[in-house]
Amino acid sequence: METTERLQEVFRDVFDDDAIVISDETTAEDIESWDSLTHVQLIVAVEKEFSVKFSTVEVMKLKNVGEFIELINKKVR
Amino acid sequence: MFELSVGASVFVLLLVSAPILLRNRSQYRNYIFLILNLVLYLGVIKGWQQGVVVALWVLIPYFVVKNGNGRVGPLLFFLLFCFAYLMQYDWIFGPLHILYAFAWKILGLSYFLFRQIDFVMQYEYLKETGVRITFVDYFNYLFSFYTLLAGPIQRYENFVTDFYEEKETLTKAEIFSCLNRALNGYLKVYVVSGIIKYYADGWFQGFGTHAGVLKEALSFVIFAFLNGWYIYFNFSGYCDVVIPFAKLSGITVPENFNHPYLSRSMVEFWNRHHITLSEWLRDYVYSPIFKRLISGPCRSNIRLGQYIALFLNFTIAGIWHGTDMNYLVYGLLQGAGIIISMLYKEILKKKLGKQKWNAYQNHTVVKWAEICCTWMYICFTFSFVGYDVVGLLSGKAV
Repeated sequence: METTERLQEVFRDVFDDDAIVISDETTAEDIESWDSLTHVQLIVAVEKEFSVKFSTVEVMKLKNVGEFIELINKKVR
Repeated sequence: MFELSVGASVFVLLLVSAPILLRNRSQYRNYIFLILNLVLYLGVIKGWQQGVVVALWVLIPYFVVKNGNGRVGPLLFFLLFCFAYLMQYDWIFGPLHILYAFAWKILGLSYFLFRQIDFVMQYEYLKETGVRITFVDYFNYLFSFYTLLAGPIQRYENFVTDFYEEKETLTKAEIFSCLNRALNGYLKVYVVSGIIKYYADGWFQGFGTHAGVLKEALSFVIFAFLNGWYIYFNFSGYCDVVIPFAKLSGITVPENFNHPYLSRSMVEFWNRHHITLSEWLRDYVYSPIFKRLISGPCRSNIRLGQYIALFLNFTIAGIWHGTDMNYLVYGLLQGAGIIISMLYKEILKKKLGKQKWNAYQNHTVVKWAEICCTWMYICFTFSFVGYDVVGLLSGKAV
């Protein structure tokens, strides 16, 4: 499965919404319950799904899903 | 914020002269800013000992992180320990009988600490992404006279990117709008908050002299409300002075307030009050703690992890605000308030269901009841800021 598809599953699981469809341009503005509180839950779920670890600074610098996918691919490689 | 008479005069002089000196795009603009920042700091420094402590405080993190191997843990621990020592946190060091012989207090230390942590934590990222890092920029970031004394808390990357960014010339209307805001801010700090503070002091000092518990409680409530407004006008007024003056100099200082007393919950309040502090704490305290908790001990109970992380986050925020027990209580009350506010929302949402919850949220009476409750609770917690309420409650004379 592609990174985007796997990430989408994580999004759906964390935000409890099967209708979520993500793209590179998706930001926190586009998903109602994506706030600073749920952001950390998302990070931990992604770490688990992809068996990677993100640093504090990496977590805070993410601006959209595209950057998130890029970071995951960099870590997985 | 403006208590230091020499500092205050120098500060006003700098505010007025900086737009003329910094508007030019010369290659020496960063050095001009450095000189202005030095002028203010040298104007308020007391004695050579303070100078030595400030120099060490500034130089050590810069050179350690620059020549280090990317591991910042020991440096952060060192900074936090030195901060607690220099600030003289008695309830931490008291039982250890540590002498404060070398604890020369330095102006702006609290804000230095948060800016330095940002710089240290982000150093590798800044280097990797090619963000400009020089000692002059680092110095200006720490000592920027606009934000030195009372924030807002800028981030190094934003500060340095903005400083060197080409900006359009301000129109007459924009300049007028800046001056208008600064004048309003000046009035808020010196006139409005000054008057409110006078009465807040009076009501606080009168506590204990009224006959009957009811009158005593009422006097405390009046004091707390007055003090709440004092904090708002003084702090937001300060920002209303520095933000437009910085804009006139071609420097962007982030907004720090957005009608905080119109918040419907404690969570919303902290997104509208001292915004840059909340964001800093979210990034460097809440998120790492929460992440650790839900990756480990609170794996099966995310909500619990979130509450613990928020409680610790605001307790730390309280401790950062000041050294005595009042600030610890203030932080604990903020943490408790946030959790109660979230539980209220969570329980009610579950009980009402999505549709009824939305209708409930949109009801005008509910909206204003929530705003009033949040405001009253905030005023109560703010009474511990700047006043020895703990001493008062424990029977110590005011």
